[in-house]
Amino acid sequence: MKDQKIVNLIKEGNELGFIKLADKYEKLLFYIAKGILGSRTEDIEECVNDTYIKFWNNIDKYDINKASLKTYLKIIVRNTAINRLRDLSRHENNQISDDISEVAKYYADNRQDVEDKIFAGESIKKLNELIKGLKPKDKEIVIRKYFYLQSSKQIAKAMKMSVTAVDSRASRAKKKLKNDFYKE
Amino acid sequence: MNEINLIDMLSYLDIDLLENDNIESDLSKAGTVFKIIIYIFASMAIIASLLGILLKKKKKIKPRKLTHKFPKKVLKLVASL
Repeated sequence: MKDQKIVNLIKEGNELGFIKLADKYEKLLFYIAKGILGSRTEDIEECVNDTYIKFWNNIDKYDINKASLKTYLKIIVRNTAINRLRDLSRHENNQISDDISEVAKYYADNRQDVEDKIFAGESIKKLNELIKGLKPKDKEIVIRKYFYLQSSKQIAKAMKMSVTAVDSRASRAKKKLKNDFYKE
Repeated sequence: MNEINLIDMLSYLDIDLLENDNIESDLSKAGTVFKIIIYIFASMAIIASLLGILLKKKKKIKPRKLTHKFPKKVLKLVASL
């Protein structure tokens, strides 16, 4: 079923819309959430369910001409999973899964030591432009590593590269972004 | 900008960058090996069928070998000349 039809059904409050949405995108949403949260099935399910609820709550603001339904859902599930990861790390017993990526673990372990920041619109815009300016492979690695929090092994498998090559390119890309970001 | 800030800032990643980020291809890769095996078997089946059809046609149009069967009497006569 086409995305516009799914959105229309959901707007009408028709349950079929949600069924079709899940049919089409649930696998992808689970994959993204699992990449960030590891094997914590309950948290992954909750994360995906929260994604549907957030989508439903903001359905009137959603404009299919600005973003495809798939991309919109990817953003919601990713940010929901990151928030969940942060909450789990703050929990007394530190309930982070052992099988999350190294970057997710680093984020979970160190996030509470970093002050919550409100990023200026200009900074966000600048970062986006810098990422767009990266070479295609570097751009994909940065997005996979820092947006989806994938492990180097996962990225290497997906991009048919060695883990060493992924790490090397990620390190160089991160350095370039940092240097260019603070350059006046 | 440290990694933590980078991860947090990417919550605002441009939609354009996510439209073609290839993440979906990770899901389809799981089925690729299976698909390749199916294609190989399907190709073999098609080739085998085509060969079968060709062989059948070849048998049908195969020219009959003309054998001249001369009577024995004639052969004896020629041999005696």
